[in-house]
Amino acid sequence: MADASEGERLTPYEAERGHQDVYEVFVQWQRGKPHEHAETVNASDPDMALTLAKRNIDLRSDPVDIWVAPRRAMRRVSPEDPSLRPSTDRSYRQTAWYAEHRIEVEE
Amino acid sequence: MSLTTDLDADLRDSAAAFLLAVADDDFVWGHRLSEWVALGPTMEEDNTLAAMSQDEFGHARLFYEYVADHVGSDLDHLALNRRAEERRNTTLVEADHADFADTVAINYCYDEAERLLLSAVADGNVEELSARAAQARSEEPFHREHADRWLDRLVATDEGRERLTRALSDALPRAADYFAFEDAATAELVDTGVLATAPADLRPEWIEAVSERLVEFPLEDALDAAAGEPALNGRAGEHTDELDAMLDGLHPEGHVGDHPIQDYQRADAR
Repeated sequence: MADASEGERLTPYEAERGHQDVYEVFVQWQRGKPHEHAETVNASDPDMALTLAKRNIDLRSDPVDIWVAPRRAMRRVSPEDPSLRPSTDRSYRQTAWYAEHRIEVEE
Repeated sequence: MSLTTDLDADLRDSAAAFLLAVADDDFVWGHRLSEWVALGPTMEEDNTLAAMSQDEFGHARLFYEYVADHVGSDLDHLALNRRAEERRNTTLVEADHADFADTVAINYCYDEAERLLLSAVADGNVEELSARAAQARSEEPFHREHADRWLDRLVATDEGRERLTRALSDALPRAADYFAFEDAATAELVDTGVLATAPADLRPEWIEAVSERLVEFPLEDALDAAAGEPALNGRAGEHTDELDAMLDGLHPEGHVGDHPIQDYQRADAR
């Protein structure tokens, strides 16, 4: 992830005293593999979150990349969300269904 | 060049003495960072300081190992048993500190200086030493990143700015001994190419970098002191009582069992 502060001095962080946000940390452990959720850090801003994340994950496992995202900017579904469960049997949409329901055709 | 076959005994002694000071810096600073364990401002920062402490101990080990081989000692003895007057670390890193601003201030001043000194070794012509210095140097950018992040953030409030200014005013004068190695010994190392640059010649570069980075703070007197004669020269074995207290703290009284650190003599028992 590009570091926004690269090459330029950060302006002083103007947050209310002691303000912290929760950041979700995603780590790519191997090139070509997806980023996995690794942990959560509290930080004043995204750059600080990335700095802290770097030393709060297992560096000995040689991570390839790290992403941080503020939790408040993320949206998630609830496990009870009905839209995650289809109301009708949709197994016919998968090719396996046709193998299991083979129709013998008489010549 | 190889240390064992190409350098004469005197030169190897000088190289070992120089690297002992570098190792002492890392050991003492690593210990000070470790004192934050379970006391850090946040859990994330606590973990980060502990990880940086381990980096420093790792660097100390790189250089103590070389010195131990050369003088026929071992890691435990060099790192743990030597008393304050035998240590050659800069007085910058030995200060006791309870304010997180001190940690940020010292970390910044030290890292900016160590980067220069390690480069002088890494660019030297003795492979055993330059490889170790390059290895230690490769982990320093994170410490610098950590220092930069906090220097920019602690000034967000008036209280943060005041405490950071106070911490830098304390740290900078103590950094005056960082490059104050004995000239005769380092001249010999520079002449033979073991060091690419004399430590004394790196000092103006350090002063310039630090002055530029800290320009927003009212630190004129502290910067003058940092560029002047050190009040105590850790490179010559002069230290504060805080180092004695730190080393005594590593050796609690009534220690039982057979352990290498028993060879230490507590300051209050001498």
